[in-house]
Amino acid sequence: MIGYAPGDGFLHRRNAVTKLSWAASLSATVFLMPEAWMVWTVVALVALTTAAGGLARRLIRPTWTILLPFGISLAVLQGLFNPDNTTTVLSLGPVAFGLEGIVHGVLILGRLATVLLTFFLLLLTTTPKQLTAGLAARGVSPRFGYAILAAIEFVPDMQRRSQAVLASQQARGLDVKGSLGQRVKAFASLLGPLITGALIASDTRAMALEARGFSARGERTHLALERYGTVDRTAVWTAGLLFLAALGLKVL
Amino acid sequence: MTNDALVRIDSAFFAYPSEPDQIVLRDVSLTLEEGSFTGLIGPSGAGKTTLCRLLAGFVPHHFDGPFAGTAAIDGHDLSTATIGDLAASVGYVFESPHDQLTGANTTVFDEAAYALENLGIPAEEIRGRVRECLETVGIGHLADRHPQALSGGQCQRLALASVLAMRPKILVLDEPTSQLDPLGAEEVVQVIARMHDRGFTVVLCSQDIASYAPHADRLLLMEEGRITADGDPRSVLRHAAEREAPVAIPEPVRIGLELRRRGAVADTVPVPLSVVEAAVELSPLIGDLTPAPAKEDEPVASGAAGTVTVRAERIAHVYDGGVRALDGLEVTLDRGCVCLLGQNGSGKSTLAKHLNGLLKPTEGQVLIDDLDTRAHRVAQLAQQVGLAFQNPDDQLFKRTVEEEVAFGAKNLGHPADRVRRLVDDALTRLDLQQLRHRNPSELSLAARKRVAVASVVAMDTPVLVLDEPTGAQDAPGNALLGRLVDELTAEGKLVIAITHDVEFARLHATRIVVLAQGTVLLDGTPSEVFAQPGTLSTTFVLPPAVARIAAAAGIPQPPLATEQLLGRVLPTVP
Repeated sequence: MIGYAPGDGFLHRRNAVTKLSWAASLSATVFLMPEAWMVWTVVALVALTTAAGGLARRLIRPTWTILLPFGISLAVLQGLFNPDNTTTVLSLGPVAFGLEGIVHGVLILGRLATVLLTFFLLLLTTTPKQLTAGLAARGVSPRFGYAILAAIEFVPDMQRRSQAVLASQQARGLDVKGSLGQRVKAFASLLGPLITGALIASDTRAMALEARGFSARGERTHLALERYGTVDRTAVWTAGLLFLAALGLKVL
Repeated sequence: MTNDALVRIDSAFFAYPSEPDQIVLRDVSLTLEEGSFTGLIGPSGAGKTTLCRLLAGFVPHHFDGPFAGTAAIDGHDLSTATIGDLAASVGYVFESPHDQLTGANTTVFDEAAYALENLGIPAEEIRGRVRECLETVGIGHLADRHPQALSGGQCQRLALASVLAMRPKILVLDEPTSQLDPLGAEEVVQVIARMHDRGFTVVLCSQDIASYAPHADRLLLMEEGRITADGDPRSVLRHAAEREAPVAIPEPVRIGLELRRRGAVADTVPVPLSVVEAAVELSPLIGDLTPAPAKEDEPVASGAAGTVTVRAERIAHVYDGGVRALDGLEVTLDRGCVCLLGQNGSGKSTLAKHLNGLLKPTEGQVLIDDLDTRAHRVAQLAQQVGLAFQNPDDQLFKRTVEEEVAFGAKNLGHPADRVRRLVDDALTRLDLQQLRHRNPSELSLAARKRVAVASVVAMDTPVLVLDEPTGAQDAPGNALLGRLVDELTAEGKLVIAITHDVEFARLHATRIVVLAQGTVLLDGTPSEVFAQPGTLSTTFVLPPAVARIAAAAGIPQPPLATEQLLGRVLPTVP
């Protein structure tokens, strides 16, 4: 849904590790904040940053596609069933919506909005290679970096395979649009080749990776490695301190 | 044994861990000199791929079955060196194009650079090497494309570029051209030959012996895990032909041997390997040619049309993203074996998916008799049209070959006793009776491919579409599938085969339809179509080798088969 979009704004120019630090720090910090207004202040600041980076138009649709149905569900569930509900804001016959629950729902929604926006910003302005190169330069194992990249590529890869398998089984007369029973049968015949094919492919891929120096010892080169200067270093420390401060306030 | 041996293998024995009793390498001893170009030939299951894997250390380290013997690769003792240790010395290109992508890169450029990054090559040098290698294999213009968006042929070139960029001492290539159109394959072989000229040591395993034998300086014939012949390509191929070994002997060799047998050329003269060499040998023999027969001896469609007619009426198909794969294509198919030829991306597979409704035309219509594919589900159309895809692994999922072959027939609702008969018949035709209780996933690629075809044959549909039916098959496998196609067409079925194998088309097609840019470029009998090499080359198709040899030798109306050629050049010699 969200992938890298080339650009040269100030967010694109920042080191991937800096952006990851801020996304992680803010996402963790909002879960330590007790009040909805605090969380939504963070959301507003992130939204302003997004706008300043010229990326608002790209993020509005995917963000709302997730937040809107989630927000409605939260309002209904929290408004109806939150045990702290004492103040009724709306009554529909026997059904009463409580204010406290809705406020709690707004708090949860703000936390989700923060996580979505910050990580969407990271994905939109950072290539997967920049991210893994940045992490490797900070001492993270290349195997962990590969796991991130492979996970990102896994979904489109499986989609491609599943389409091929589906076409192949339909060509042998399998009805995938018939009754429920036929669909269950179709699912089984899709899953088998998908798993077998993925296993065969992973075996070849494991060999291909080894043949391309995946386990090679010694220094590696990272073409996607970006500059990690004073500004980035300061920003990463600030992100860490922000989280620690929020944690301190929570504990105290 | 010379001192500059790059590879030294002594008495190697190996069995895969899944089948420890099945010895796949038997007492293999081999020395490869630096800068040599060695071809591995032999039938499926002879141990060629396993020997390639041994050179890269996958055997015995990735496939850790019982191994005996010793091997030293570029100074590394295989008993202690890891695959990673060998990575700088050995570059390996696998047969399956997409599976060998690392899955960790979002551009072609990054994919080709991946190994160099792992080996710690300086960044500027990586950029230079990668650009050069992508250009060398002809995909420089695709550097920013996502690797998963490449065709099989483009992907194979990317794999080759990724390996070339590493500048390994030894290039090991396992069927690197199996997914390419004929001219594409020829180009890749030229690239490999250039790498050899630049000093790389090359080991190439491919069923397409004719394309690379002229470049190799040594061939190894493998049978049942042993090296049974080892020497220069001319002598090994002559040896293989004379004892009728199960390998595809290139036409230049076949013609050369026949000229020697008939006494037209001295037996002591080495046999020709390439089209040009065969033409040079043939030219002086051309005197008073017998005229070409009015009609060459070629497969003829049975007089009666099949029971079903497939009509594509001015169809176009535009994929999401705007690629126009078919563009006003019009064709009616009603009998015999129709081979669809054309370069990668010409629209062959897209057309095939229209024939059973997997894809619906964005313009025009496809009719299976009176059924408009747009108005019927694929499952309904499967009663008329069975389609076997190129990759068998996309369909095999049952626990036994027998169950797998019965899957399509059962889906069509045939009664149980009829399913049993159809399955039995298909297993016999595809030489799978002995494997009927085996798990398909444990079989070789060639056998898995035959299982996939058998499962479609058992559906007993009046129309069969076979996508690259001879892919991964050795010479006996090719002959088996050819016989199958002949039998099916003789029974009145319409067989539509998508293929890059022009020899298969020459032998078994009653009609050839050549596609280019989503429309029909040529349509006719094999003689008519292959008589137009200029037009064929625009869609990367070459006429059969015999026709090219005859044309190069200056023979008018070049015949397509060796017997026809010799009949015209040496009509009086039996």
